[in-house]
Amino acid sequence: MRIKLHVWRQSGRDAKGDFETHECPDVSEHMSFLEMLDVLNERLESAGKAPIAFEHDCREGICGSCGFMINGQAHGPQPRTTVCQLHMRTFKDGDELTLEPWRAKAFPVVRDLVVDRSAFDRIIQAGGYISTNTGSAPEANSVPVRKDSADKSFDAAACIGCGACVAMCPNASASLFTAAKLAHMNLLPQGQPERLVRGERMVVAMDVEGFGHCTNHSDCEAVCPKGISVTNIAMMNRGFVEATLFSSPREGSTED
Amino acid sequence: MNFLLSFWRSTVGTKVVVAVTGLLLLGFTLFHMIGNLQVFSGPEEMDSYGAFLHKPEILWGGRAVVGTSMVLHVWGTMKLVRQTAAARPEGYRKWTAQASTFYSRTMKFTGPIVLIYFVVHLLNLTTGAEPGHIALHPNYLQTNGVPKAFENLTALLSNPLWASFYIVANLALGVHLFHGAYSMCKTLGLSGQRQLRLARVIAAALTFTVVGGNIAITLACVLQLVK
Repeated sequence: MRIKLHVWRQSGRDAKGDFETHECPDVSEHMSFLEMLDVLNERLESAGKAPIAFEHDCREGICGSCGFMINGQAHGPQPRTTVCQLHMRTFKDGDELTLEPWRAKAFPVVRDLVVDRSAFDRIIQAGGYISTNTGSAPEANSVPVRKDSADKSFDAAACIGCGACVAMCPNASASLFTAAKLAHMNLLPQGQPERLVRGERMVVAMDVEGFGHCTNHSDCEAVCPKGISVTNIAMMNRGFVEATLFSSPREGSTED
Repeated sequence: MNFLLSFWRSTVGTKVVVAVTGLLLLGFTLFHMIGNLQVFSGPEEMDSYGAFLHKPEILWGGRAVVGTSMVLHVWGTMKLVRQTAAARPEGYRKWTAQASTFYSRTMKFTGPIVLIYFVVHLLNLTTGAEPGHIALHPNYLQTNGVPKAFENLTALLSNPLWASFYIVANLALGVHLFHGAYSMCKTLGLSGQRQLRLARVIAAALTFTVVGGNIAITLACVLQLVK
């Protein structure tokens, strides 16, 4: 198949970027989207041009490294699929595709389609952990977990932190990511001691990074490769109100 | 006080304030519409209802709640919109809506329209009752600060231009209420899938009731069905 690409090219963080058009005349329908870019990059390199930078690692949809906008959709048109698992059979011969990096103030473009997502790391650092004494792993069944809590927590824990939710959100909000990380911990018994302070800190961290606010569009849920539900955001909101009403700033503090 | 301030500073806290005040304002639009249905019962009923609302404790209590809600609702939204406008300095060349709706994406446009509606509506039918105040009205009638509700309303809305303004304003209100009523449930923490589906149905029902009622009153006046 023949595919025409309009790709965002930007040589560095502060450089001015623009779209560049490339023809891919020999695309096999069995290729993944990234493999198509690999072939294009080989051609660009042998012509002495800079290859298109994009992030990738496992290429099996579980690491959260890859991702960019394809025709205005985060990770492209196939639901619950990262860009590395998106195959060219999803497209038609002669398709024209616009590739853009995730766009958010908190996700500055590093190069071409690569953005810096360390803002997510800082949200996790603010509270996405449990404080526990280290040692050998406890016996698996020593802390009973309700089945429905375990299921909901696991669904939230499926978040791979790819950033598609932020990219797709009309407000560039990181609410789905933050809410998923909160639900993952807060629904389990191990997450209870720091539940309120965790919610407060991660919400504040999300604001500090310069993400937008949630207006319940649900575009994030639609493009999430792991199908994380927006109901987690409602739980985050409820937890934040609870934290304001019932926790004093010192209580549960883990700061030295 | 400190915790309230940090609550307001966070986006989630501001959203909660906007949702709670939105809920109060939604309640206000519903009762306002139901009260106004008395226009169908004739001038006496309507005017005595108007006089009842002009008891000082009801009048000023109501004004305090609606006024405070309105200020916080608009202020909070403006704070959020400003913050969020900075969250994506460079936009997309292509962006395809996934699950967001016409209703959800137009909130920041329907909001200001509803605010204009609110202010014009006050100028039309409220400010004239205070001595020395101007009313945006063809012939505002009042006795001792109590407006002649029925005559004022029918006189205003018998003008097709004013009637069209109110119909358009109410359609914008409907678009705003539908997403607002549903969205506030999520913002206030309603997280069950079934509850949220129910919330969507209730939001639609409330929107139809408020907007349908208001437009029915407007049409009745412009078509001279009530005299």
